[in-house]
Amino acid sequence: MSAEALLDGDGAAIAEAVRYGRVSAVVVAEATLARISARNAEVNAFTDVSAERAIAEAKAVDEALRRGEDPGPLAGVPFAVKNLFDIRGLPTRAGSRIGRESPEAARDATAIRRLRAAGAVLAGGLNMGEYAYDFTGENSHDGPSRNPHDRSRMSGGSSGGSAAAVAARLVAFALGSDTNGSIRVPASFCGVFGLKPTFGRLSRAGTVPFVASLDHVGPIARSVRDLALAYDAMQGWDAEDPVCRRKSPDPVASQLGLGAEGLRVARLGGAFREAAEGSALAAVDACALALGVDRVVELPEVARARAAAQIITAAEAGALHLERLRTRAMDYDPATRDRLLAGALVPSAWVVAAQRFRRWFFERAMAIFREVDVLLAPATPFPAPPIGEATVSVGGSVLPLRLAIGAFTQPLSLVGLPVVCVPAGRSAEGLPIGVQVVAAPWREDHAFRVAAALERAGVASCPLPAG
Amino acid sequence: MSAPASPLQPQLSRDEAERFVEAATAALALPLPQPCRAGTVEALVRLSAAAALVLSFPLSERDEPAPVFRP
Repeated sequence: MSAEALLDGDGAAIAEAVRYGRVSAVVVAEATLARISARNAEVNAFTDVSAERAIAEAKAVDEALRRGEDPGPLAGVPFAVKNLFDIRGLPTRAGSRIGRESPEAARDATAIRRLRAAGAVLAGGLNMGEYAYDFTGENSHDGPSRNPHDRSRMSGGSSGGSAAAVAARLVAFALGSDTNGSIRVPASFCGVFGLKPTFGRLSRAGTVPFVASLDHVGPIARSVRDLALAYDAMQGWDAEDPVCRRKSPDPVASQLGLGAEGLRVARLGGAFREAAEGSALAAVDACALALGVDRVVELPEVARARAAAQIITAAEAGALHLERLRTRAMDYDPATRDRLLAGALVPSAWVVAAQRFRRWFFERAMAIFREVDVLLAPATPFPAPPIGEATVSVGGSVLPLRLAIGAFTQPLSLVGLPVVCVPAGRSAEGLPIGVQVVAAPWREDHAFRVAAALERAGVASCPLPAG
Repeated sequence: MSAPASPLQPQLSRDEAERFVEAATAALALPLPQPCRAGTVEALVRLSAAAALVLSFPLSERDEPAPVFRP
């Protein structure tokens, strides 16, 4: 198989071809760089391409193989990262004008170092919504990431470049971050798999923080096995992230074959169905049908959970940015700036009430997980809207689009639940839409097993963009 | 005899939000450039609606936030 054909498949197939000597890692890296150079302008996913570094890392993989060493399960697999991850030798943009003026990072983020140790090859940094305060993938400094399935539409955000690069087959997998839905939303809009792990599972060290109480990092990929390989490679305690749980890794790649057998699965009803368009509900129903699920459960007070997440997000992000807002407000993306300014002013009583409510909501979620193992819910209420759209009509009322997009992701990240977002539906216009496969804290294995079962059943797959 | 119920916090009106923004930016020594003013007030009105929703939920004083949230 040619390197070009391998790039259309998944990373596990690339790693196998490299490990068995059917193709060299350098040839894969060169083909990746050529493809990025030819196609990136269509989707505006990359902000930095680390060509020299990719070739050097690929050479190291080939040399390790020649010496008879094991280069790791992601040998020669090209990946890229949302540009809020530190990449040695580059300023960390975090989607901002201010960030690109910062000193070059002295070393890679923990997640990148762990993926490198597993043999993966870094191809560069990816476009994102400024400072991750975004669901659209738009960015006034770098231009919007574009949806590979319809380039006039949003990639989703804030990890927009990550989902667009993977959906467009520029790299096998990418890293994103998710505070209120920033991995799951673009995964849904672009038709790829995404993982938001349990809060505290993967180290965030070496990334630009957004909301310390809610930030997660995770992979985006085109197959469940790639998602699992990347996730497994990044697991493990890291003293440099104060919320990273001191816990030994729980690898999932070897468990995908177990499927959904023995797992109690239910659909989330109530608020998780009311605001969803037909294509979003149809995707959930297709998953439920494939798994033989007819049970529906309800989480209480979902609207309040969203409200709590909004307050915590605004207040923590506003406080984090306060000093820069004092001196450089006009250098921010206008779409981000005013929300951060308002966040900096939030009274402490609102924040404490939101944190107390968070704990209450967590206990209600735990009560559900005593009865079931996995929940299915739409990832977004609708497929990708046109770039530039500011409002959306949901159930007869007009809402700010940025608020409406996160209706189903935000309540779940508030309480740190692990979620695999699977591409399981298409709208009448042919746009992809995702389903959240949600598990109890620290049970990513359950979400992965169900995602793998849906992939095997042909319900979840990454559509090839037309043209 | 139980204490009289305190009035629930309502969502801020635009005027109230403008006055709050004025006072809070002064207290924080946060200059607010003119082009940011309307958007900041609008964002604060939205946050106050979220706060009204959260603050109207009857939590008991024993419902504590986790010092480090660990699901």
